[in-house]
Amino acid sequence: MTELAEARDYDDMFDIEEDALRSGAGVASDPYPAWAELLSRGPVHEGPISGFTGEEPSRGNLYIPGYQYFSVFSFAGVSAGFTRPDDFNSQSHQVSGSFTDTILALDGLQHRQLRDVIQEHFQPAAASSWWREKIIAGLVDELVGNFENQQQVDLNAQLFARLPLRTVTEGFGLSHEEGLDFRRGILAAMNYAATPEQRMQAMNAANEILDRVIRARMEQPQDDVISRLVAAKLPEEGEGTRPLTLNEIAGFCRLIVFAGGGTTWKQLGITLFALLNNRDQLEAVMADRTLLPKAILESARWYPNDPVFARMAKRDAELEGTMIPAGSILHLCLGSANHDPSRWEEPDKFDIFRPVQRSVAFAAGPHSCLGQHVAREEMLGAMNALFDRFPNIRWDPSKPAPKLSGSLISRGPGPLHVLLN
Amino acid sequence: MKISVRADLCCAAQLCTKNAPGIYRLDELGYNASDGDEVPPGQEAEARRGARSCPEGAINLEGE
Repeated sequence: MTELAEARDYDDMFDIEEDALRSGAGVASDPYPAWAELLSRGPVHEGPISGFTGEEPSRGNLYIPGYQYFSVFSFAGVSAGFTRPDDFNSQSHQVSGSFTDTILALDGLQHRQLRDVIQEHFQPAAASSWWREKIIAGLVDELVGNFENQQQVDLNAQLFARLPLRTVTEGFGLSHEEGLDFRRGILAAMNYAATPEQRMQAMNAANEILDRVIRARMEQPQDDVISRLVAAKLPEEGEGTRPLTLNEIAGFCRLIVFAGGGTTWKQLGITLFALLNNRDQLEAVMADRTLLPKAILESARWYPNDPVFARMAKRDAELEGTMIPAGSILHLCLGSANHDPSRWEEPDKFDIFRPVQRSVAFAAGPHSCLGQHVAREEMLGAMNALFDRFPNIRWDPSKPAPKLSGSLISRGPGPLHVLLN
Repeated sequence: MKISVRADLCCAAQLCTKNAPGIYRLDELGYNASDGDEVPPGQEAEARRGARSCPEGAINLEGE
């Protein structure tokens, strides 16, 4: 692939507003003021999340016709939605037809056993050793090295779009080019503006790439995630174990390449956006890098890139004083929960000096984000490299001021033009 | 043996209470509230099993 074609690929796949349009959700204006007002009136409101800010109730906004909806805005309510799997489960993903054959859409023992086969490789210890040393450190060096002699750069396109996709695909064992083709296929497969045939064709193309790599690792294992999945054993009913099916392995790859490529991209940008707009905090972090993990957690609290997730009520259940009938869909608003004034003082303020308190940026409960520690390592690696090499990093005043945008359920910055020296 | 829980890591997966019932406590939101608790003598193995099962590695047992 030529450098130019590669750049076009990244520009196209990692444009936050294009992303919003492609998903069918559309670009939404800042929803936080409306969410704060809703939370001040009550923790749970009947209706889909899109209805409260005048957005289209489309599939891209987690809406499927024919269900009763409740949107949940408080920290306690959203936590309960994630941590009471006997009341609220992930059947919502089966309804929407997204990632139905993966840990995202499974529940209970089946979910736990399948997640267990790879959990250890995503725990903090693995993130700060295998992922950092084998994958992330080298990629950060290469990507930052590409522009370190320039005066200015768009960090969204040149670093933040590239690092996560390459981390996950190369961690899994796909080449850089296979990774790009694969993500393009998945995005096209989830483009609900396209015909079902077009989506199916795109999914098949993505699956072919994976099948090829999985079969190669079955022949000849390597030190990568796919080889670990190939070698893994799942407990069977009764006694004994079995290897994962090709479909289960491919499901993991699809989920993690999609989720790990997209979420960390946006959160890297949000973190830089917040720090460059708060110079005093940026300077504190520059001077004392032990503050960086706090800055990353605060960025995830202040502006979680995926601020809404869905759950389904398994049975009639009470949630923060509201009766939720069985079969209803919950829209859990992490964005609003992370700004709940009963948990955080001045919640709208980005403040890395807050006392450490868990937010729901990475969700909670059994489905809590699998890749969060790898994501944090990527953010640590990228920010440390930028601050080490460019202590005078600042917005480029000749370019439009960066802003946060995107759809209601997937948000992050557009271009991030900075001056380096 | 003393339980130490990192508030920035606990994600309320609740595998500690599933794997070591009686050792770990949850707060009203479902997060581990056992920070500072002493493990009852004789139940160290169970406490270790619960700590190991934490998907976030949030639980440390001091006095190991």
